[in-house]
Amino acid sequence: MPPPPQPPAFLATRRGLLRMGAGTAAVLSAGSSLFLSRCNGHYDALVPAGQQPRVLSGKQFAVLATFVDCILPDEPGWPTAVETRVALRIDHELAFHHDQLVDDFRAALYLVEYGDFLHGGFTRFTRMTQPERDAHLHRMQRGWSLEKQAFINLRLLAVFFHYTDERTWQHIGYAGPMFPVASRPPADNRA
Amino acid sequence: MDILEWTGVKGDLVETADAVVIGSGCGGATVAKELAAAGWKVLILESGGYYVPERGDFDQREDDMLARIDGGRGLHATADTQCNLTYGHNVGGASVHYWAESWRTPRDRTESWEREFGVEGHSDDELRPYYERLEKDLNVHLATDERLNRMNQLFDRGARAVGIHVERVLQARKNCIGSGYCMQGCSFNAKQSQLVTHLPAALASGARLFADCRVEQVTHERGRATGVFARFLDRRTAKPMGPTLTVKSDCVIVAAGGFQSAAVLMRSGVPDPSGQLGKNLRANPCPMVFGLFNEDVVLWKNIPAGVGTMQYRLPRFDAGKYVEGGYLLYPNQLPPAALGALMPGWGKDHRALMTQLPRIGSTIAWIDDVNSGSMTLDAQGHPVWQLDITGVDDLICRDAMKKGAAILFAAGAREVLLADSLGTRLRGPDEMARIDTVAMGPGDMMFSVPHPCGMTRMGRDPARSVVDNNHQHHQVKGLFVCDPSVFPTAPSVDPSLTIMAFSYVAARFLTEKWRKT
Repeated sequence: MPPPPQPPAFLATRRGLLRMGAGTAAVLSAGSSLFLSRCNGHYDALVPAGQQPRVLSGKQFAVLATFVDCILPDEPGWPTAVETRVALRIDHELAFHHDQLVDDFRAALYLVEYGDFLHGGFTRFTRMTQPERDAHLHRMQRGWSLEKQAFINLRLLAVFFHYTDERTWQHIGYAGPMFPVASRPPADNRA
Repeated sequence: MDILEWTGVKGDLVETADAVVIGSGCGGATVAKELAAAGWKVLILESGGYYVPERGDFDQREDDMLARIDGGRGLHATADTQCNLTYGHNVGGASVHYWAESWRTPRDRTESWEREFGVEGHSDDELRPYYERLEKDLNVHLATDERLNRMNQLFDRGARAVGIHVERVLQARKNCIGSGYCMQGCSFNAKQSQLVTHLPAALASGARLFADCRVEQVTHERGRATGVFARFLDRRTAKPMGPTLTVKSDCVIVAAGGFQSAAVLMRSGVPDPSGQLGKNLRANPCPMVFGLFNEDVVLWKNIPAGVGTMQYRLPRFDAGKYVEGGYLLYPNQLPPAALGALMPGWGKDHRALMTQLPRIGSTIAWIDDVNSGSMTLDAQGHPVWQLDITGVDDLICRDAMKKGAAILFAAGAREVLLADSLGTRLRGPDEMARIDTVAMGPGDMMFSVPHPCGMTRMGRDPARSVVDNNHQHHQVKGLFVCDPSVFPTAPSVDPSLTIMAFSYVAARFLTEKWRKT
């Protein structure tokens, strides 16, 4: 059937993000488990107040929230990414997908957080200043295939979920649906 | 109407049927309708949910509708994430989100299927009576003036200015008001999807429909189909809820769609001596370009492709070297959040583009892909798709982007944005050559792939095909495939009419000959 370009290609599925090889995939998967699964004070401080992830660990969620904040920085008069709960909706969305896809997602976050190490640096993404984070994302955007895939998919998810929030619509010239919301899908990532 | 949804499932079920149909899209609904009308006891199984506007399910929100009606909730992609799989996961299948363009497969394509792949009984002449019936039943008509949105008008103007032939596109709609939410499922039942056409007809003839019911396996013994085993899904979690379904039937019709039918057969362990199961995947990758205009375009209003051009449908080669063509080119339609997600950059740069969203126009092409991909199952039985846009397909995409950019500039765009991650911007037609070098690999650019086909291809020769010319599996009698998976290649136009016409051919064989063989 036709159409099209339904929403963005978003995320990677099936080992997609790990296509650089089984060995590297194993290292990244192990890394994401070892380094991002336990929470500590640094990461706790990055988690938006009142937002509890269901699928991701506290550290993973903190990296995601920091990434989202970088993609969608606050702008006076606009709803913030914390208000639209972008990171939390992404986390909740993962609950509806199979384990491999979720593992790929975790690996993408691992690349964001520790990607600097791959280029000879020693700074985690969440420890960077804002200009450093922007530079890091620019490098990912132009980096190895795997880095590019991680960046483009995470970015797409962040933007999509932010701009499906009705509070953003007046800013982008969208009048919204013709009907009030009649029923949420049972499998709702807002819930 | 006899429809069972997840909330009505109280325990394990065992059913018998003259035919069990796996999938309720264009292929499955059409064959089910015909069999039920012939008096067969038909059971339709759909892994997705049952959604209808009358219950308020079609709320026109991108996020809600993506979760309801899209396969993988919009997140399924090929292994390297270059291609986003666009397919249906709901009663009515992809016809619920499709654009409703309605093409007959061009004669050159059905001739090549016959000549190169041994497909018989599906020639242009043999399909014609079915096309005529479908066009009447689905109210297929050329797009009318009032349905042409600003993007359609700009496409028309721009294309003519650069010498590209423009034509109206046939639409399967009735009483369309141009709400612009075609891809979210029509809230007004105007789009003639299977939900409002062949499914109600099938149910009225006595067919039953189980939604939220995922088929795990087709069962078969000694070369004959014996039924299916399925699990009911909890729609709140998208995971199995416990109860199972066992259907006993000597006629199993797989119509799970071009991305999933081959996976059903693989999970079922059907023989594959030809080695063609899961191969030959083609899916019409869709390169897009965007234009920044000084006027409101509003890509999410009215119908998507009221006009378009067939001028470049066939590729042109010179001494074996690609010159141009190999695609259909249309005005694009995208809802706001999806459009925003495709705009490049982040932070202030991205926000600046978002404030101009209504002034962004776009063209889209369906690439008639030459190279093919494949699908395998991982250890858990999940499909892993592979489809690379390389070689001549890469060249075709670039040519389609050039033609699209030329149209946008000629229509008044002050800038053209490519859909690459870096956000390449063309300031004028003189920069068109940059399209030749823009990075399009995984992580650089994403393509929607909406028209999957080929992975259970049809043919006379069991050594080269999966199903025979009656849609029946070469090695498992009583196992049929009725969806675009049987097309040997992409049909080079929107496949919906072709899928339905093929299902009519299959239904005719089943009702007139199969029980006698």
